[in-house]
Amino acid sequence: MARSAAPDAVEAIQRQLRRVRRRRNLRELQRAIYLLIAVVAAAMAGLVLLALRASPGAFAEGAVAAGGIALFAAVAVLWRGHRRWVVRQGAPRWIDRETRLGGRLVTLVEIHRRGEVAAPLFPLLVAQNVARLSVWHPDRVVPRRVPRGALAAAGSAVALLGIVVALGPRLVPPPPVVGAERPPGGIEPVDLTADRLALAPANGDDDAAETSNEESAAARLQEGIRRALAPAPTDEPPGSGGAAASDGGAEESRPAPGELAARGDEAGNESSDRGARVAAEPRDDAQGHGLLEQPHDGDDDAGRADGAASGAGRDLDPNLFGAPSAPGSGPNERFALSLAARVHARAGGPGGSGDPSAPPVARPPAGLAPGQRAAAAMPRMPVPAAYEAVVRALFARESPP
Amino acid sequence: MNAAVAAEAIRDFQETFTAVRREIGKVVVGHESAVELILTAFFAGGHVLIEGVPGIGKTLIVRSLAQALDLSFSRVQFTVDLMPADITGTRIVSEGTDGRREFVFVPGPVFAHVLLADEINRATPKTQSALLEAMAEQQVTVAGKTYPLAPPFFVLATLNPIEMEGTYRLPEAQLDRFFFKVVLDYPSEVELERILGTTTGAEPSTVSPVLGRDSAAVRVEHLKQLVRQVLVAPHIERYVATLVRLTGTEDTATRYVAYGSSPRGGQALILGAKVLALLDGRPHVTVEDVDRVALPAFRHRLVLNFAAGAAGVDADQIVTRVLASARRARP
Repeated sequence: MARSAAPDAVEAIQRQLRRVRRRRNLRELQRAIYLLIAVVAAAMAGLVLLALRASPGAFAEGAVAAGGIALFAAVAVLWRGHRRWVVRQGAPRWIDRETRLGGRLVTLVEIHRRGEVAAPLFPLLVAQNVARLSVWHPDRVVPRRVPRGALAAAGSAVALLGIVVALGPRLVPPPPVVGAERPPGGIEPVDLTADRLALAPANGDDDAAETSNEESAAARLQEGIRRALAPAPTDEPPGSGGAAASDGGAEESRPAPGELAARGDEAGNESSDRGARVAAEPRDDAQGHGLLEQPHDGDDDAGRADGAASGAGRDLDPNLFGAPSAPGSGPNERFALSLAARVHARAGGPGGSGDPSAPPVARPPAGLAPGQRAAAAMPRMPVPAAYEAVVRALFARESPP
Repeated sequence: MNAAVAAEAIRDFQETFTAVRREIGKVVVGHESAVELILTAFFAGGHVLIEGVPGIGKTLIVRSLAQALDLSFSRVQFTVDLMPADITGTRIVSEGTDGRREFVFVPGPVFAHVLLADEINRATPKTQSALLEAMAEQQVTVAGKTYPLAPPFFVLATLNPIEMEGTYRLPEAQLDRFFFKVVLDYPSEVELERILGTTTGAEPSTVSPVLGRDSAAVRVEHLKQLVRQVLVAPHIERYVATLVRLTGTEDTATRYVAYGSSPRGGQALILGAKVLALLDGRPHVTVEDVDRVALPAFRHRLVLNFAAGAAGVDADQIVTRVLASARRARP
């Protein structure tokens, strides 16, 4: 009786064995995937937070740490999944151990595999296993198809990442304002947005030769994240009332990073144009300026009616430095400061006529022989991109008293 | 054999085993685990070496076992002047009715189902070796003629560990033929009180036969055959092989063991585990069954070196370490 029923019973047992194993492995696979998602999302959230809030150095260190932790966690998750993965050979032993079958299942499978089904006590072993089929039913051995804990972890991490991404623009620290607040009718404070402060990498420069490629990559990554989450403001300083926009009606396009080195003049031109626009506005704060004309590379022939170089601004020109250059993407990138704004002297100064409405008069430098050329100030100088923020801060102009 | 018949056979084994243990327990106070091990070896077809100080019931256990199973029982007190023929039997000249004289074989005490070899280490190695063939082959050869021993044949030898003067260490080959070595400890205080109460009364306890005299031998052989049919999975065999190998290669064993267990040790492990499996109502052996019989199966099969004696390490400690190592290596 039992002997004839044994093959079917063994087949039923092995079928259930396969189901349990499949269900278990599917669950472990899900768990591993969810945990990996959780690890990656958490690491990305941390990275984004660091990119938005931390200094470049801290970001580099934090990125390495976050990457290391994420890598370690991912390896741990994979190792755990590997250990918990039930292989075909080990499935009976695992079920036996989990459900306390007393070695019945593993013995049956191994004896059956060895072909000793004719052993006198084998039918009894089969019968005992059949009687215990419900003990290790898939629903009991692997009660849940979805690992809730891992799924919750993945969901939480993804939600956290989403929150960080959504709040990214608000998390960007306010830009340091160089100069005083705008007095009534005064100049706009120069806005150095955060992305400017963390500009392009400085490697490639002789002075920053020790800067490693990793830091450079970290800086690029941080900049990329910031750009993606908190787009850089336009060249208009915030709160400038859109005067320039209404004035020109068109925003200046940011030069491509690769074009910066070649477009030093363009930067100066942009600055000049902006200066011209600002100069065209009615100003009541420009008074008693003696004008010291400075030649401008490439713009010498583009003089204006007021005697300033083409595109030169006035003393309160907020765009003294010209248009900000785009953050660099190349290691050797420079940005160019267009020191094209006119330099004014106050009343009583060297050129002080005290009449703001008087047109500037170019005066030949004294003590020079005829035909001798005066030493001209270098209006533009390539500066390593990483120094842009420092230069801007140093040359920032405060509002007049 | 279908499942129902197999289940019935296992139940019969359990009942017989339990009944014999209960009968022995009537006269032997305490020593439950020792009695179980002796019965395990008996149903597995092995022989047992019992070590214990005098007066703690070694002989009583053996005699009770024979009475409970209603099998023939012989006792040989081993002494230094005991000769092999005193055990196996000898040929004597006998005169027939027709006046002719011829050699006639007179069986020795070995021709019994249960043989108690008391203080076996007091006999010379030559006499001790007389038991070798009987224990291994279940036959005796005298004067070139072989006489089979009637099954079941069960040798219980005792050792006195404290009186070592005038004794001879058992040869390793002889030791290896013992299935288990059982160590009898002193009884506890409670057990001692019970011993005093039951042995000094007017009516000492007696053992009732569990099996009928006519069918006892056949029943015992049948049960022993059932033991052999218990299923052993390949992973159990691998585990036993690992254990046997570790008795010579494990760290502690490497330091203190000159020779590890022989393959007979592995056989004893599996057969003993089979009996325990049947006792538990299972048709298959588990690792736990093997672990339970590892100590009595291995302790007399390890040949310790001088370092072990100097360090005070005995075989039981080494077997315990071997079991721990094997458990760690278990998948």
